[in-house]
Amino acid sequence: MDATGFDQSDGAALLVRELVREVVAHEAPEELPLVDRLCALDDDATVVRLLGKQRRRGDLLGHGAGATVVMATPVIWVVVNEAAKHFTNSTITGGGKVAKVGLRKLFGRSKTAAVVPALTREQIQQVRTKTVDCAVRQGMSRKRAENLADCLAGRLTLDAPSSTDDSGHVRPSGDLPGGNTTGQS
Amino acid sequence: MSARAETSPVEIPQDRADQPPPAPQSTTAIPEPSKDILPARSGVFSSGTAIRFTLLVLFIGAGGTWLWWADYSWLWAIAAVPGGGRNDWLTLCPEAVGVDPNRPGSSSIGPPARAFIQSCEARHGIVSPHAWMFAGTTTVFALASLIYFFGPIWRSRRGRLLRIDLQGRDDLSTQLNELVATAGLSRPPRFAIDPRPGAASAVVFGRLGRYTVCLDAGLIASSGTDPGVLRTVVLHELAHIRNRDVDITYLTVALWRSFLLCVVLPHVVLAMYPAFTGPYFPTITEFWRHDWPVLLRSLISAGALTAGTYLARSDILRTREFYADADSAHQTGSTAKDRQHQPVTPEPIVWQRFLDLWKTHPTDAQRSAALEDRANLFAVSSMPMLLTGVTALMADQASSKLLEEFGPSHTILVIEGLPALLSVTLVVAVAGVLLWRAVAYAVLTGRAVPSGRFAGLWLGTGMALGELATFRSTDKNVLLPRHPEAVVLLVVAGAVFAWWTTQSADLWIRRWRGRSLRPVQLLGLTAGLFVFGIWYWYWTGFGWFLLNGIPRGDVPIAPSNPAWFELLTERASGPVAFVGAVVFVMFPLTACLFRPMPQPARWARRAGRRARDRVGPLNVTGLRIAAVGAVAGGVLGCLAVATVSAAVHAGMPVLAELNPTWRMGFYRMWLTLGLTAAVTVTATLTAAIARHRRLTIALAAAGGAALIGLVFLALLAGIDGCDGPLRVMTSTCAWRPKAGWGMATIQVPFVLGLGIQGAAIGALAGAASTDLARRWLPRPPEVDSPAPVPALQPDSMTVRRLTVLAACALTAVLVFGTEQNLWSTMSRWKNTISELSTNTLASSDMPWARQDTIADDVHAWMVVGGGTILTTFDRDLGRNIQTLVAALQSIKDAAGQTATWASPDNGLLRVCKAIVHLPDKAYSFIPIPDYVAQAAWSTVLMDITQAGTDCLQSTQAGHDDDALLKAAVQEVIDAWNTIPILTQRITSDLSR
Repeated sequence: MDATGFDQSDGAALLVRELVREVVAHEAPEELPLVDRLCALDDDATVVRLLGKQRRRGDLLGHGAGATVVMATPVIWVVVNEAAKHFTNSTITGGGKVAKVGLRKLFGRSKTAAVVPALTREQIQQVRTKTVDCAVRQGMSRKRAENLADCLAGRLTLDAPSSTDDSGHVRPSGDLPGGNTTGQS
Repeated sequence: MSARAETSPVEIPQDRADQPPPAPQSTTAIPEPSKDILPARSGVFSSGTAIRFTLLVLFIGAGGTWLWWADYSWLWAIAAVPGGGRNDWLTLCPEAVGVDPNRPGSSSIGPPARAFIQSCEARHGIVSPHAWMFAGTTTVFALASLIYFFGPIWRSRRGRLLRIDLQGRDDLSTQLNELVATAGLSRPPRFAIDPRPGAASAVVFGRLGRYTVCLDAGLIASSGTDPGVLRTVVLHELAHIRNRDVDITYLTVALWRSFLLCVVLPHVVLAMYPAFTGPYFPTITEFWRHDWPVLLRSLISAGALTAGTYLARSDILRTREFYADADSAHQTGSTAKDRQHQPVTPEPIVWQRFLDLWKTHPTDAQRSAALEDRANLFAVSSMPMLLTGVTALMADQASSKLLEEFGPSHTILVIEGLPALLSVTLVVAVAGVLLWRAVAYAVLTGRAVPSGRFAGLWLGTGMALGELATFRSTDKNVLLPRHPEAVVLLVVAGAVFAWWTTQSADLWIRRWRGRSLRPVQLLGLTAGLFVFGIWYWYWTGFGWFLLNGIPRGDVPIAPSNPAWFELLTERASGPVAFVGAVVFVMFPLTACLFRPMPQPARWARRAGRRARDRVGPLNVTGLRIAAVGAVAGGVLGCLAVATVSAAVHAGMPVLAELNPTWRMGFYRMWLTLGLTAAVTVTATLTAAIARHRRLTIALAAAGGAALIGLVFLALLAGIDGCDGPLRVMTSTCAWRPKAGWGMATIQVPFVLGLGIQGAAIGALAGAASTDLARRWLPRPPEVDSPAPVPALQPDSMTVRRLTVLAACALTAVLVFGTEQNLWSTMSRWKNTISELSTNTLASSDMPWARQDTIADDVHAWMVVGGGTILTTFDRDLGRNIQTLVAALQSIKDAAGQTATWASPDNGLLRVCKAIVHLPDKAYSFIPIPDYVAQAAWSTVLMDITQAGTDCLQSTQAGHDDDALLKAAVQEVIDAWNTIPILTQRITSDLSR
């Protein structure tokens, strides 16, 4: 694990994409074809960037229903990704590292999969709250948003440490930043 | 606008997952198709967008090149005139020979005048910007090709889309493979997912042979709750591929973008840039202040061109959407039946409907309406008709300009008609196809056949707007011609053409037995080419005069008749007008020679069983009305001929003052007007009385009435002299069949030509007035559709065939007589005129010399060199007279010596030679565009030539003719004294 909190795929760690797929399989299985193809991408940053943009209307030869469909995948992926970054020791201190990350992104070699750290109960509660807020803001009904958030929180709880003080991770204080699927990644 | 059914769109639920999963929800705007629809892929009907796309390409090509030419001219004008300014020489050179550069009819200019205009423009640096225009147009199409080929690559660039492998084993891949097979595509496209959150939609893009169907993430998500939505949407996109919409759509868009970048943008920048920057600012602002209509006209033309292009593009794309909807609904079958209808939404307000015209996609309500009732797909909507009209006229203007710049138009007159032919072809092809398919669908489904008049009014309105937007018939500094109301004739022409087309199509389609309607449609469109071509031909020849009035002095033919009549006669007397009118009347009637189908035709069977059952027999009861109308109208025509003859006979004492030719011209005019009025009244009343196919019946009645009237005229003229109060041409009684025949055949082209067109207008008025009356009166509304009637009796078919054949035979005989008596004479006369005009350029060779703009023309003549020639001539003549007088004086002073007039040292011979050659330069120059001034100028030149010749002869060795020399000197001095009078005339011309 580097200073950004992202690491090459570690068999022991829970990857963000794995977590997202599990939740989506449970709550919105119709979105699995999308999640599976997103998982084929190496880079979580790319995934979040794609999911964070709103689809532009007005295509020639485009056809379909006019209203936007509220999806679970962007909400979960963005919130979990934010949580993974936030609750991990994610401060990039050295200018050289910044440049390195920038260059890797520039040349398309930033193929990293984000890892979900083990979270405390308070942190899981924060994630749940943010998930509900984000989903409702996207137009999802509160009931469905809470179902979604409960499922996510439940899955995170499985990996939660027994004691919040013995996790071995550095857990910065403060609230989880607002998860927004429209370009906040 | 075509009224589409007011079904509401089906909105997608905001949160689909909140709905109970088992309940099938409607996720698209596709309602259940009605039961009596045609199979979408029967192949009987084409959408007609391919030809509209061709129109768009041609329009962009011609329009773009035209604007490039305009830009070049503007640049040239700024560069050529210090301080910026107008491109004066483009106006001055034609005006100097009495030609209005903005006026049609340049083919009437004699070759010498053409040669002068060309040399004048070349002398002042006006050359056709061939390279500029060619490069500009090529750039438009090259950039469009680049956009077309590289657009899809840019769209699916790295990281934007998630590829779907059709070889995969997941459910999505399997489902997509099934849909590809259902759609019947031989080669599957590529599929991809756009992961960005959005609607449950999809889009297809790509280029020739390489297409990608991109599914939105929302569509994937929706498919869980409503499996039908994925199927419907994907089949819609695959229908686009199968219908070749992808190529047409993206080519259209690429052309549009290229047109904007390469043509519109430079045009706007060039129009605005010099106005705000550079040293020309004061001059340009002054120009704007004084000549703002010129710039406004330029902007209006460019704006109309751009708007027309955009609307045509949007209309094509919307139509393709309707067809893709129909295709996918046909394939989804039972899925569509389960769709849920939403409450009816209110009819959109006018402004919203106007905005919808600019969109590339139909509204959900329009989609639903088209699917619910397929007749909406076949309705002739106003927008394509309006656009066709506008673009046809603008394309005519643009292609005329191109031909003028590129083509050999100055030498081959036939080529000058090509732009008009192109416009006529476009109108007939686009509007004709739309009308034919509308009628075919109505016949097939047993619905009311549309009259086409309303759609035709839109077509005509488009042509009227196009005519005004080209500004080709307006004066230099105004926005409208003097009589803009004359464009109503174009509106009427559109309505008559569309009305005639639908009735012809109705008659022929019900008789057609082939497997496809294409051959009969092609036949009908070819006939339409003649019919509409004649209207347009009349307009190009006479429209300018209608819009601007007839200039004084233009038609100095027969002072007994008004100028408009002579102009009209000249235009209407040709065989072309007659042929068009014959096709106009006979094409729909010819269908009556065939029996209606006892069994459904093969093309109807292809279209479906239910539709086949509804094809009804032809209702021909109207032909009886036509026969009665023809006889009654014939009597009216006979009365008109008799009345005119009696009136002319009564007025003979006054008319006797006219010379015989003019007297006959007067008689001929009133006979023409009388017969035409009778024919028009016949058509008006017949159309008002008839219930079905009113135009066809009215035209048949009018044609019959004209034939009867002409036969009566032949008989009456044959016994002229015997008929007392009807005697006009001679006072001796005898049977003169030749004279009678000649009198009738002279009337044939006009009465059976323009008279029939007048009858069509009368029929339109009669039908419209009846419709209005029926609307006001408490009666059930009537339509132009035939109700099924019992099958025809064999004898009625025989009578009908004999009647039509007799009418054809009589017409053929009249045509033969007209050829012998009129057309062959006309062609000989025209050849003579043509030969004469190539020899010399005299004032009589300027048929277009304008009396109303004489000041401009004479000014132009002075500027292009006439002023210099006049001044130089006057100065040189004065000097030569001085030299002559001095020489004579020196001879007189040397009296008694042996010197003679012919002595080489006295200078007399030299000055005489100089006087002879003095007018040479003036002779080779163009005449003054003022008859009076030119006559005086010619006299001066001829007198000087004569004086110089006399002078030379008197000095020939051995002559020493003192009297001749004195006469020559006197002639020279007299001619010199005439020059101030000529100058005075020119000055007064300039001050008019």
